[in-house]
Amino acid sequence: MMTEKNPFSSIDELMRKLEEHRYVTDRPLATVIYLSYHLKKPIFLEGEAGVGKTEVALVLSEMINTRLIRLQCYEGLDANSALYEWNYPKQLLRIKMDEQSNKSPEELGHVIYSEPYLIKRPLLEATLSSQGDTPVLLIDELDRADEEFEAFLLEILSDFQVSIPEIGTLKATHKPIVVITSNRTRDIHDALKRRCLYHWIDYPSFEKEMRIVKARVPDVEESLAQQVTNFMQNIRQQDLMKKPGVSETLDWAEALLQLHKDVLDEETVKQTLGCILKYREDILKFKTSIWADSATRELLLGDPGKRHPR
Amino acid sequence: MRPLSDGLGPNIVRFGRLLEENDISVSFSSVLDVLRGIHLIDISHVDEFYHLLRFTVVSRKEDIEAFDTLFQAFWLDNAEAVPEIPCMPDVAGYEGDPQESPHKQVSDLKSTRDNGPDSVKELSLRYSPHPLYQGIRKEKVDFVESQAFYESICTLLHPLTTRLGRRYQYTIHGKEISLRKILRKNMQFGGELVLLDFKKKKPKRRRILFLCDVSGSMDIYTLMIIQFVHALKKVDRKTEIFFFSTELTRVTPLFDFGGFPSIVSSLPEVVSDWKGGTRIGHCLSRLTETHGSRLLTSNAIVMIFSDGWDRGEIDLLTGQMAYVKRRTYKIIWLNPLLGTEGYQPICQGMSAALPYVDYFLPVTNLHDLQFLEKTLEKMVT
Repeated sequence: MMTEKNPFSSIDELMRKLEEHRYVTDRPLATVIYLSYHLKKPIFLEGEAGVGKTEVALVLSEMINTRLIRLQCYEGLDANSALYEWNYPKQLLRIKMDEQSNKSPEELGHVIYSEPYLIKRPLLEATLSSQGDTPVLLIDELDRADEEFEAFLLEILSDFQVSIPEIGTLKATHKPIVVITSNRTRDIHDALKRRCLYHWIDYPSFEKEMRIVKARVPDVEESLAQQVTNFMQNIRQQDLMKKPGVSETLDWAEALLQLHKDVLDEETVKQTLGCILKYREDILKFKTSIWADSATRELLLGDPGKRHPR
Repeated sequence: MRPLSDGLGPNIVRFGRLLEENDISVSFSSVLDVLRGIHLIDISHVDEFYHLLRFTVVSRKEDIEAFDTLFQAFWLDNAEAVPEIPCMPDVAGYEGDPQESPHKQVSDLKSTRDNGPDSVKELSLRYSPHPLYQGIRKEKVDFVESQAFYESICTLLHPLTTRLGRRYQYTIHGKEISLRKILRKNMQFGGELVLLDFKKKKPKRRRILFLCDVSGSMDIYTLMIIQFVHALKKVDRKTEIFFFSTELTRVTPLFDFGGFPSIVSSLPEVVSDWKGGTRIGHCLSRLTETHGSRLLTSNAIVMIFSDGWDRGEIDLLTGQMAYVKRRTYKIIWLNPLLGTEGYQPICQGMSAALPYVDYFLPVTNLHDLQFLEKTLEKMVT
């Protein structure tokens, strides 16, 4: 029986495996994942919305067939919501049930502060789960959480050790693969970034975006995929408030497929504009200045079936 | 596993020092990571070596370009292709030699390989041609830098810059009970809930984004407003400051590190087109493009100090004001002309921006700023 090759044995192997799981990557991104795995450091991914940051973690967990533990950050996220919390209603019920049992307060304390009453949050899950295999921990949109949370995260990421006074210290035997993403709505503190390998994911090149469309929406016609990609590459050059990302490209290709369109024409663009532009000002600008200019319109629509020069 | 060649370790350290000299912070642990990572990559591939260095050392997108340039110059000896290193001019007020060409700077960079720290320093100094630079007329406004002034700004801004966050803190009085605390505290009574504990939302500061017009028409107010901004920065170090005329310049770093006199002397050199014309719409669009996602948030307060004499595109100004209004908490427009008798905001820039302004206030001197207090109080009640 042939043994499966370790996907992290080389950068080339990693790229091949990622592509097998329909994640089109480039060498820099594969290198940062490879280094992160071997140096046991978290990956810190920044980039515009919709360029595939979160997807990295999803694909990694799928690729190595392990659990994905996701911590979605938000303002006010604190240690209790990220690490562990006691199940208070259950504890209160237990106290009521034991009212007549003559248990001493110490004994009762041991009962209600034990594992059955513990609610495990993502960071504790990641620590406990890594006692078996190596899970992937995704800390998504860290910029939404506040600075206090960053300080707490620093502590956890350094040794994946959790101390619960009543239960004891739990330490991960295999450090999880950690992927942190940020949309840069605020700067993350350098102290945290220094503990990570930093990578900025840019909008993809024409060739890469074409490969992504073909991998993710395989049913789309080659010529339509080319037109859509060409349109997106060129519209990102325009002065827009929110430039569409790759996720918009995929949504649009999927939408065109559902509408049984095989060519991108002026009418289709107008009908499906909502898939790519999400701001009223951008839509207005597109209609009044970008689309109104015949040269830009031609550039955006490209020539179906022909590779458009960029 | 490949053995380290003799000179590589010290060279990496030297490269780290070069990055540090160019404002790219390099920690000791990241140098160690590079040394560990060398065993994992194929050192004969320059790309892999480049990526290893970049991923471990660089932690901000803005540093990538400067890193690339320094990498090319240091490791590949590719001096010809090296563009000028983007650095902030020295705060101490260096007046560069106009004859100094970028090639001179590149040769300085190369010489850092021969342990020439002084030459690296020179690299961060740039010649900045400002044809309209005439300095700040200090004699026009009295300079008051006193503790009392900072304190009054602090009181003034307190209601504005505070909001309720979503993080809780424990209190002995309040409306929301804290089960976590209560259960622990009452275990001594066998779980009987005798003592109560509460929690409430913790106040959080709002961020102020101060946009200051430094075009020719605003000249006489400049020193006064620099004092205000300096105080503002002391009150809240997260305040972001931009100066604009026909172009936008972020001057926050200057206020972060500089004392008042050095700020005053170096501002005209740092700010592009000092005392030039005014293109507010263009400058706002530069702001949204470059810092929009980070700074224009629902918690931010945008303060614009300008007379509204705009020579740019009015449509652009209207669109940008609408966008900023939607993205941020409040827009306060401080107009020095508003205090003048008979003034009407009819110039096209001001009238285009006005529908999007939450508070339109006069500021001609520091005393006027006291009027802000009542307005700001209203904002949070």
